[in-house]
Amino acid sequence: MKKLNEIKINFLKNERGQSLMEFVFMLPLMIGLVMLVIRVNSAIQVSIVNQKYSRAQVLAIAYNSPIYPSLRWRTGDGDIFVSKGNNRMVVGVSDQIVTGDGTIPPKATTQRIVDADADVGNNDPQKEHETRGNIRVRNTVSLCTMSFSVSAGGNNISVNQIAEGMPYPQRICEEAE
Amino acid sequence: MLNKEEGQATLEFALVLALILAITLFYFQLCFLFAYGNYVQYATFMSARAYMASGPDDKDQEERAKRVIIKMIKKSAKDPNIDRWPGIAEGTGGGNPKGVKIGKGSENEAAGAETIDLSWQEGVRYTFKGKVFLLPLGAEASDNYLTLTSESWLGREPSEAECKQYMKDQFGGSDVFFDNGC
Repeated sequence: MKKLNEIKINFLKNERGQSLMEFVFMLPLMIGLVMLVIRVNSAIQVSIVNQKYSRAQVLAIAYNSPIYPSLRWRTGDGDIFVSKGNNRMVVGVSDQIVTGDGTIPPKATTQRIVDADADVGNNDPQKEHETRGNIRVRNTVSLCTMSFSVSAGGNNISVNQIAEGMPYPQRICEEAE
Repeated sequence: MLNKEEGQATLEFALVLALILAITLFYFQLCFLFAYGNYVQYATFMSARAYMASGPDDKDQEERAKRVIIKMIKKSAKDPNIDRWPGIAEGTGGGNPKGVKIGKGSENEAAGAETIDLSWQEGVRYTFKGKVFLLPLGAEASDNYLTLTSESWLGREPSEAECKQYMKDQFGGSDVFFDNGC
């Protein structure tokens, strides 16, 4: 028993491998820092790339048209821009294909920045996360013009609607944004 | 000599220091590379914007884009193939200057002129590679590089020469064009 105690005391007093042990304790912290940098940077990159692609698509729609959206979009199915009374577009990148009738809403890109088993909170794409385990990247590019609306009786009326004499509620670009 | 413990802590410290230094340098190098990547994203955007705006002809638009990207990520206009921060990353692959490709994207190029669905994919692309481990940690030299690509597609407005040519083709010899409508 006495010998066992001596071994125990010697072990505790022994300074061999101290640096190595310190390194082992520090290692998870250092790996954690590296992982955090990689994940946060990935989220930043996703944001930049989404913004670039949104801008590219907006410019493509407005391309070669003195009044945007481009003619080929205005004469399409249902005349989706002008019939709203204003010319305005909000273009972004969605993680799922969005339907025109609104049954499938756009879903923002999500980037996880914490461990896989950590609580990430609310996953409803239309709501904010309760916790910030996930970063939701929302990027939109807007184009706004009043080219096709005229002011009449305090209301903005789409030029498409003038012939029908239907006053439109006042919706201006500032409200849309 | 083997039983002596003098200098044991120093030796241990030296061994651990190498590992700590390797990881710390890796961390800083990674941060530099990511920061550089973000800067390159901005550089390609600036260059694509210069490329997009109309000019006398398409060569002028390309030259403008080239000047912007050289100014931002290369050493100088005199040395367009020397990178501004070679210690962090340098251009790789083809292109002139190295790593830079100005014009249509590969999918747009493959689709040909018939389809306009991919016409938006025209702009500037830059591919670069950076060293990840400053202390190799046993990695192969070829594995020690991270290759990244940044691209900006803003399209390209037709040049004046193209507009004139288009109007001539459409209206039989007239070179009149208006606003942005060619």
